[in-house]
Amino acid sequence: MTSWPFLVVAAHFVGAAVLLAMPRRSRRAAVVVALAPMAAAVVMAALAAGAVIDGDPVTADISWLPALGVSLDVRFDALALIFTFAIAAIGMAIITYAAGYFAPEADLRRFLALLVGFAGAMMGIAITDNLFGLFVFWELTTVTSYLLVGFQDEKGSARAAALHAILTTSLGGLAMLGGFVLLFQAAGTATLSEIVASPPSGTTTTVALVLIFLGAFTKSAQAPFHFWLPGAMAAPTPASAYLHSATMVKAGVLLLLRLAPGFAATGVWTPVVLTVGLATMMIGAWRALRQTDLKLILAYGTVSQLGFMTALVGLGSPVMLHAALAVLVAHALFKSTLFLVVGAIDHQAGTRDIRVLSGLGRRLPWLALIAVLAAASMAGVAPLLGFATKEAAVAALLDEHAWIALAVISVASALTATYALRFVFGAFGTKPPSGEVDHVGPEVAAPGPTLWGPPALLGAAGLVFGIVPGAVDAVVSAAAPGGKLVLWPGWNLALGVSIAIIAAGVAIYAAPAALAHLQHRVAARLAALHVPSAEGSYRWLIDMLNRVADRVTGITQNGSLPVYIGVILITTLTVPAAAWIGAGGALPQLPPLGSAAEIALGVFVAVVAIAVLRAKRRLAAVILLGGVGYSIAGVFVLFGAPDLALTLLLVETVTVAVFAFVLGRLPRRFEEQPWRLGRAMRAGVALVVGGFVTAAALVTNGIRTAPPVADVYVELAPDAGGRNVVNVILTDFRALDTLGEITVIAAAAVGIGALVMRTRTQRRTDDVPDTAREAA
Amino acid sequence: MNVDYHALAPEIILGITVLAVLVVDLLRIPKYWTAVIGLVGLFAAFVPVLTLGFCESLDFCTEPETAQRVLFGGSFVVDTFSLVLKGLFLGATAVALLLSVGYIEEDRYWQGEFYFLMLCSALGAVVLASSRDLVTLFVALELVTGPTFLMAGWRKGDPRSNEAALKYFIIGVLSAAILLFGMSLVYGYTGELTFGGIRAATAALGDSALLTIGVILTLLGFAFKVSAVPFHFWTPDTYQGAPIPVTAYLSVVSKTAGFVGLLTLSYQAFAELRDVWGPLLWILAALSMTVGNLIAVRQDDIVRLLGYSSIAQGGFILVPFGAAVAGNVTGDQLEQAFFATVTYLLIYAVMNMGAFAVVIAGANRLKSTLIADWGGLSSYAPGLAGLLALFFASLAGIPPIAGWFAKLVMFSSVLGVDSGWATALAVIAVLNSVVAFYYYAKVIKSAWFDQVPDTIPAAELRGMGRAVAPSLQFALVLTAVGVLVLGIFPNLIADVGDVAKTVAAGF
Amino acid sequence: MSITLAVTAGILFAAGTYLVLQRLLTRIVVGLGLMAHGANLILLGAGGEPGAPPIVGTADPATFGDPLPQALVLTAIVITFGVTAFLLALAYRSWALTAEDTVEDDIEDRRIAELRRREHP
Repeated sequence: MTSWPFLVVAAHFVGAAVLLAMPRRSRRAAVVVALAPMAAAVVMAALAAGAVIDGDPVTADISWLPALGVSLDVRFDALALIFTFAIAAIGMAIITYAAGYFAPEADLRRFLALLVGFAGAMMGIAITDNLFGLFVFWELTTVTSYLLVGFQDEKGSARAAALHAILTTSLGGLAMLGGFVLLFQAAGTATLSEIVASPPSGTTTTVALVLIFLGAFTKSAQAPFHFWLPGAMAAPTPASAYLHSATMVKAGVLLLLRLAPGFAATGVWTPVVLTVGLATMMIGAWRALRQTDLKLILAYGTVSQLGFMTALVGLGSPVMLHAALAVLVAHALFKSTLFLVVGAIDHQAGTRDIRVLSGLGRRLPWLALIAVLAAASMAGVAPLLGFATKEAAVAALLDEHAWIALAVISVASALTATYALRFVFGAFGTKPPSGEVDHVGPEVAAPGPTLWGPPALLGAAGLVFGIVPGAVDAVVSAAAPGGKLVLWPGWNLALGVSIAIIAAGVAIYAAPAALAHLQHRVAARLAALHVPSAEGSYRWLIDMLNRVADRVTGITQNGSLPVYIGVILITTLTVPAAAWIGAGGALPQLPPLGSAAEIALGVFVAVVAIAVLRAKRRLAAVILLGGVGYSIAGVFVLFGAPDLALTLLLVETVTVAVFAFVLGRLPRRFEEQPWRLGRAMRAGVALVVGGFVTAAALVTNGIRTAPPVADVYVELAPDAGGRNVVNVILTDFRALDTLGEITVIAAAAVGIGALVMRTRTQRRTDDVPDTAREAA
Repeated sequence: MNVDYHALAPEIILGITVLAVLVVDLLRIPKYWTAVIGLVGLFAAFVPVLTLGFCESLDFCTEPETAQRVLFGGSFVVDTFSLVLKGLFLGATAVALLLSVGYIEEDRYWQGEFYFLMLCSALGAVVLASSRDLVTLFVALELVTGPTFLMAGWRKGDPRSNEAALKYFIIGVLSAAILLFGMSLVYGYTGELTFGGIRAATAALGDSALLTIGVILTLLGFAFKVSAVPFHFWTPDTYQGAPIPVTAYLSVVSKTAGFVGLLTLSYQAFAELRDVWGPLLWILAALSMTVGNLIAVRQDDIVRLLGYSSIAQGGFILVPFGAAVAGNVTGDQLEQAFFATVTYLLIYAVMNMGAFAVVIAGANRLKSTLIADWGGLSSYAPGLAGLLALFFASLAGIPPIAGWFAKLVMFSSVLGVDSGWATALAVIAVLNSVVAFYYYAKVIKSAWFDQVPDTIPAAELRGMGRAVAPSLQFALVLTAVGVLVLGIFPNLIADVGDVAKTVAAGF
Repeated sequence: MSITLAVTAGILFAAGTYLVLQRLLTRIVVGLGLMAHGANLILLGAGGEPGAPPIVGTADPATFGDPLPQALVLTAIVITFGVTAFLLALAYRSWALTAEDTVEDDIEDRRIAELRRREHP
């Protein structure tokens, strides 16, 4: 039994693979295959529920990479139970809904495969007790959600949005991985439950926590990373209902909930998490009021509610965690319902714009009722689950005298009630006729059962659990003991606050002109402050990345070989030079100047070498090069090396001949070509190289310590049967080296022959360059 | 002299194969057979690698007394590290050869010589894995590089291929000179050629500016091999101009050979000089990651994009070396860093080879390597688009495909060290991973979400999957299974053995 | 090694580098040739002071120039010749393909760098 949770997760991936392998047309079979693993998850959760709620989690050790602390250990506790159940139950509703939502020509099978794979990854996050295992599933949700958001291929906006979402969350994910590695090192274990049981402390832990926060905040769309969530609304609505309300965006809150018992007391926890949560809650609610797209109202509403949960987790006491988890459950129910309602409207009416929709309430009263139930839960109206959970949160805040948090949460909750009203009336109300837009509404056809059934079920669940909150409370309390959910709290201060919140929300809705004025003024004030918007910053960042990329490309890759060689030379010289100076830069004792003959030859070589630079014709340059060679042969004679001198004379002569052969075909001119790296630069590089060589020669000259090996050679030469020691070295002592040299020369000869011969045949047979090949 | 022929068996078999290819090429039989013989030789050479690796469980194998077989006075060592890398070189060459078969054949180019050159180069790589002295290392390295100069220019009718070879050759010669100069300074100062000897000598003689310069120049010579910035300039032009299978070979085998040199030199020969190579490789890692990724962002040709991405990946592979920058780094942490580099190399080899295999398969079909032309690939070639997503996701480091594990050990190796510099490098690596993620995701997005451009006759291309050459199919399956298996069972690498034991020990 | 030898070698390297930093392949080859001469001088200088030709029986072995560097220089001369010939063959092929012997700039990345200007004129 113990590895059942793991097997259920695995079943999802198997299901996804089977779906991908199925033929595209079998839609009905695809739905069945997609439902199967989720049904298994529900059954498994139900069977395990009893023991888990009693505080006896199902655990299993699933080893993966013990050496690095990586495992897939399962710990199916009450928190995992809640998530698994929500993921599977809501997932089944979504799958049913999707079957009716997508047009016959859409690739439903692929959508379901992605959805089921996503669900498996999400459950993996919930049940894994290992930091790295959690990371793996975390990234899997990122990838599958990327593919889901971009599923509607035909929409350009969907693709861009998908990229934004994945970039933001993957940045957070990578930061989180860094945090996990640090936490692993600080705690000495990667098992979450053990870390939380005996949490480490210190700077490393603090840094680790901040990095992990980044991961949680990006995933749960917390300010300033919240912008990706509204952007991701380009996703097909069933995906939005699933990912962006019920499941994926909760992953960040889940991680914080898991860590809170161990780290909430850490200095960095409350200030960061609470502040971010409150800010997000306000920003989300405030911006939800401005939207005219139903889906965007919901998206900003989700941002706001996620902020709410984060803020509660930020306060960190058991009762707060209890409230946060309760809000999370309620939100999953009402928000997915609302999304599905929007999907139904969009599907039937072809629009989600509240300025266009009118009179839908009369046409589709049942759909309107479902929406009203869910929106009331969102606003916190009794007797829905949203009321009980918000009540628990307010009571907890009052108990702990968290006045600032209470104030912010109250204001944002009032705004929540306002946008809930706005949503309901915007979607279903009848608007006065206007000349600007053609209203859509009365002629809309009723949606089929797959489109209203799932939201009806989810909405009804919100009502049932609101009336019997004990059912939810039992599990929530098992996961985060401390608070209590009740249907009717009795007349107390908390209830008063709740009533005041709703009253304020209604009042704000009733005064749209005042609200618009205020919104306008705040926007103007913000504009005056030049506070960059989160989305603007993101765009700026991406634009900047491209800009910097262009700049770097332009600077480093100008495609010119001389520039490349110049850079390489300079780097190779400056690094050792820096090391030399860093090491004290001692100069060696200078050797003697050299004999007069040496000096004379040296000056001559230098003059000829410089003449080469000034040569205008190729042949002249080559002949001058030969001149350098002949003068060097003179130096060899001075140094007692007549063989060398002879060899060099011979080779130089042959070289000039070869050159002449090739040059006969090449243009005569040998002048510099105009190009980027200026003459002065080039001269500079050349002088630095020359200087380095001279310095290196002088420095290394003085360090010889061992006696020359050649003394032995001189002694042995007669035994080897020769008197010329150089010759004996080449042909006897180091004969193998000479053999190698001959091989190299032979290989070069073969290669050159091949190049020249084949170039000739190539020109005859292949006058036209092979363009197709070039393209490949 | 009593020679351990078992230890030398991979080299001997490969050497015989090289000669066999040359001889068969002269016979009047289809040139196809040269490739087959080459492939058989590569697999045959793999057998002794296995028997050496699992010696303790084999009856006929006489185990050495120590953890390694030392030959030729310490110049040539067979240990776990060298065996793992020999396996890598043989496998990657086999895949590159499979990729070449269709490609080279199609162009009526000179097949026999081509495989001869590739196998010569592979022989160099296999020797290099065991090289533990300066001369053997240099000769092996040049044996790896030499043939690739010619292979890069194999598209003879194409001026671009000529340019590719020329740039590669000139910069290669330059770097070989730098490398030799550095090595001669090291030898001149220590009077030792074997790495163990150099280590002992540096410990006894202490530091000197000359030795420092020698070490720096030696390592910079290798920086060219691994295309570390600023020695990367040849890479994109050569990668694009060379035949794509050669590019794949260069980006995996030739690059890994460079890293093997860096590993053995840094952790063994220059073990006492961590304060020299630590900072140097830290800088190279940071530069390579950043510059490689930034330039890759805007590329619109997939081969060039892979070229720059391989520069950036080289930077990631260099990151663990940066751990040595910390003065307080422990021996365990250095061994961990060594392990991280080897792991990354193995995974990089598989996923990069796979990415190139996909690119070749796609380019054969589309006659284009422009990313825009690959738009909507999934609509008419879902299998190919799926493999593309698989390999690019692996390069991006998305679990549970192999690349993520490489990234994990890479991050861990520097984050484990208690030093601001090491942490800074980890931060740079994380930021770069995001940038890399961006451009890899863009390619996947193009293949899966974009529309098919009008210029691509998608209808005709549909269902041509069966037309992919069998050799290419084999290569694709091999690498795809590789990234999945290594990603899901990364212990395979961890269990291969303690690669660091004989090289990076005794700190 | 005398100062003269070191300075001369330095000048040869400087001139060679100046020529190598070019696009004309012939100039690159000539530049490499100059550098090779410089390298030979340094090798020779590494043998110490000038001495008598190392031929046994013609002089006192104590006055011999060091024969080992000489052997190395001999090798180097031959290898240089091989490299020169190989590069000239490449130049020939380059000429055959393009009627020029220049190493062309690769404009690919310049084009990338200019993308923005084309996208946002």
